[in-house]
Amino acid sequence: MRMESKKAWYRWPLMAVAVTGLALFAAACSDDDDGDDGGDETPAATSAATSGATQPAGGGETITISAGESIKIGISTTLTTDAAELGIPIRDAALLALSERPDIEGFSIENVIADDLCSGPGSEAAAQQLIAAEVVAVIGPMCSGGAVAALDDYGAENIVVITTSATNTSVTAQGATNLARTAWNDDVQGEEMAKFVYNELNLTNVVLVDDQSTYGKGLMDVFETSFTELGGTVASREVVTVGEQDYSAVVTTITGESPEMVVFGGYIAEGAALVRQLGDAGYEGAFMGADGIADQDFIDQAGEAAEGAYVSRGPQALETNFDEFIAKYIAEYGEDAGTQFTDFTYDGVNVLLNAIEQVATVNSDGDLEINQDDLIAAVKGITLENGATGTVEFLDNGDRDLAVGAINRVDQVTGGVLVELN
Amino acid sequence: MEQWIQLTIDGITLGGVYACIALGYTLVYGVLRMINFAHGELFMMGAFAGVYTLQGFQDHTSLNEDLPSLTITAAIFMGIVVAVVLAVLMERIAYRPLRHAPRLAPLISAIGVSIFLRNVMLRYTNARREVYPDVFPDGSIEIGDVSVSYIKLFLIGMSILFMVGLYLFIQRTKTGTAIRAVAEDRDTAALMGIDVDRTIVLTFVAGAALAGATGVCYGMYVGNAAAGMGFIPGIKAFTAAVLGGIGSVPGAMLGGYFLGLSEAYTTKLFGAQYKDVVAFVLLVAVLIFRPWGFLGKREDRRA
Amino acid sequence: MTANGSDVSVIPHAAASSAHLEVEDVVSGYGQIMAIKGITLRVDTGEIVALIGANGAGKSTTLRTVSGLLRPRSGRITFEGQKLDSVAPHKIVARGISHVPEGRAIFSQLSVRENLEMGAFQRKDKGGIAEDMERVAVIFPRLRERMKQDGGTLSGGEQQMLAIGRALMARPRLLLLDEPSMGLSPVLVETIFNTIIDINRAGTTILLVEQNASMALQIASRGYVLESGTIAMEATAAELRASDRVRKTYLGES
Repeated sequence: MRMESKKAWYRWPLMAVAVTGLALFAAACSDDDDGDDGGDETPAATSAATSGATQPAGGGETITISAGESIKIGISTTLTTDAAELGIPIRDAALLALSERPDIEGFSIENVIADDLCSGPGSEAAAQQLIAAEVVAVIGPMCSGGAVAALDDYGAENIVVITTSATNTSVTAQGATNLARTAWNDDVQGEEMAKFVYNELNLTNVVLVDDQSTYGKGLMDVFETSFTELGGTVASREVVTVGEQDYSAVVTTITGESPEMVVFGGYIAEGAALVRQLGDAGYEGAFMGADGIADQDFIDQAGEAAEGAYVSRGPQALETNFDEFIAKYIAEYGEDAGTQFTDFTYDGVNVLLNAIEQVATVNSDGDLEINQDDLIAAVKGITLENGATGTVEFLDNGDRDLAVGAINRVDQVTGGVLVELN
Repeated sequence: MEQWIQLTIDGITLGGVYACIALGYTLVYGVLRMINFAHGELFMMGAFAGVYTLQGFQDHTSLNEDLPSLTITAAIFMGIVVAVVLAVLMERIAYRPLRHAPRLAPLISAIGVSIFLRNVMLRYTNARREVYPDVFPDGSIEIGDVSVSYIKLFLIGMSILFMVGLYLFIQRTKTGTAIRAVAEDRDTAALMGIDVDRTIVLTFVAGAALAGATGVCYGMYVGNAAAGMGFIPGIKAFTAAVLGGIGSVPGAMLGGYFLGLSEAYTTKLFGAQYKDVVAFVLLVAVLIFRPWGFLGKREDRRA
Repeated sequence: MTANGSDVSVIPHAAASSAHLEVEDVVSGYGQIMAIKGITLRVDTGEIVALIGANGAGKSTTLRTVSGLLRPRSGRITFEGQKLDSVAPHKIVARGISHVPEGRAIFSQLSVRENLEMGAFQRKDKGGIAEDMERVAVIFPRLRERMKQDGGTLSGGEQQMLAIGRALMARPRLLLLDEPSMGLSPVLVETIFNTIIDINRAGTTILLVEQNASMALQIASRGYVLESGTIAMEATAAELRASDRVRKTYLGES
């Protein structure tokens, strides 16, 4: 007892000192951070501010660009971290599109590139950087989380944003009016799969399996909602764990439900193992997966059990100028980056430039005037023909309209390869 | 009812795999009081050795069709050889120099070896899965509504065979007795004329042979080998070893089957997303009431 | 019930060459602590030599250094003319030295038979091993009844018998015994010591560490007194028994 009370005697002051010290240290650090950030950004920001002729305006204001100045287009993409693998080709595709149209109404077009780190905070910082640089419009942010976070920043300045790669539903579900996206909403595929199963295959009783990833679970969530609305029954929902390969118990549970079809949201390794073990267990119903398994690897790994499986490949335009685009891209950069979204980005930039051409006018002083509300309306109302990703039109919420020359393509495994059905 | 029988078979299948891997953990822990976290990677390397062997037969001969029993045996043999060679190197390079270091050092070294092996295979395969050629006859045995595929029966049978083999080796041979002697008291074992270093290597070899052979059979069962495939079974097997009582050979087997069955039943009852939760709740519960596991010995004076 | 008298068959030593242990100026211990600080002793062929001393005097350290469990920091150990320091313990066994460690150190999870088999670990002659197993069973009949039992289930006396029997299975020419009387009843101590005499008469040289100095000096021909890691006295057993210092300190006489 005595020992303890003795200990306690000095413990409190000690702790108080420690806590105070920590607090001071933290405060010092955060001050430092602010200082550093300011130091890095201020020169760029100030030089941009002095070179610009107008202050960024809110609401339906008109941006005026003095003669001799350029039209600034912001590009928010990921140039560092692992995601740069996707982000750098996106930047390159945007620059390719910009280089093909050097000026509008005699005003040159200038790009301002900001690294959004594929994160919320990174994309907000990039937004502030681009806003300070007085951009007219922004291509990006690259990732869904970043787009959701930065939408408010751009919205406050009424700057139009075209994301070409943020595919999550939440991006357009924010209700932002200044947004459009050329990449397909993840949900489109889920809805289309449900329609395909219910309307085309006339199956009404399914079991859904996902891999507990954002993609896989999200896809199956949408499928469940759409399928139930159509009148179908989801007998049960099961999950598989990524990294495992023996799904016997899941398979036993599934076969216990005797579904007409098993629908899977996830990637190749788990999908192949599931199909294979369904086959081993004597399951004779149908199977459908999505773009996560749309690869020959899926068939190779699943073996004979994959035969007859349906594979949704996601929304695709029926006719595109992709070949022409990729030829230009390769001519410019030496090789196809092999990543998605370069074509969406190329189209996104062209949508933007077409819209600017529509609304920009030269006033009596020889300055270029662009009304922000007009620009947003022009982007939303655009029809881009012959794009690298087909014809681009947008729905009211900014999502791409599937009804315009596009379908959700479905393949079936036939003779050990994926064969397009429609 | 049929479904519960089916689930029991599923649990035994996976449990047998866990048990075979768990034996390696428990053996090495027995002699070194160390968790060889790279043990799951031996399982993975065995699976790769097996797939490359069978692919070799596929590409250059027609033996996979004509004499699958031969090629499968060869694949298992290669799985054992590769796992054993790696285990010997691992012990020599990563663990023996740290034998007298603080306990945490070899543990960290083991994690390093695990990461190293996984990344070597990731790089070698470009992160793709190697697909096992279809050598095992398709089909299944049907009893009422219960259906067990041949490959599943094979896996169940092989895991039991491996375990019995290991058990006999440990219990009935002079080397096995020496392993038990070293596990109990390294100094006294040395006084008997037992070469302790050699016995420790042999312990790694025994565990690795089992992991390698199991890796091949499991790879044939799931149809592929991948760099990451050893990780989760490794963790699960380690759990099984602790559950059964680490250091205890029968305990590892019991723990493996217990865990496999618990996962199978939980998948049906609550969904697969809860099977790990249930498994670890069970683990915690067992460790609260029996910290030494089902069949483990209370840590003795030499702990 | 126990072996007494030289007519009882006892395991013969393998070769009748000169068992001759020499420890010269050896320093050894654990980590930074040197439990023995330069000791010199000698065991001649056929002798029983007693090493007596208080707890912590360095007796066990001496034996552990001879059998290779500890490496001497300095000094020389030779056995039958060959250098022994920095030879691995399992190789020292092969040279003909068996060590029965303090506290018996029975493998409690191995059966009695397996314990004995481990004693003969380096031998390949199955016939010879079987014979020796039989001889141990003759010396210690109680072990015969318990062959299949786990070592851990034996009583203290039985464990000591097993420990000695196990050491004999290697057919040693030199037997190192560490506190064979520890924790045993007087009757059992008597039995064990009679057996030690028999083993010695059959030709095995013995270096005996004991706290029970009076028993040790009764069966030994010569003795050393170890104090704080150094040799304090060296003499024949009779001389030591007669010494005042030994009588006061180690034999408990006043």
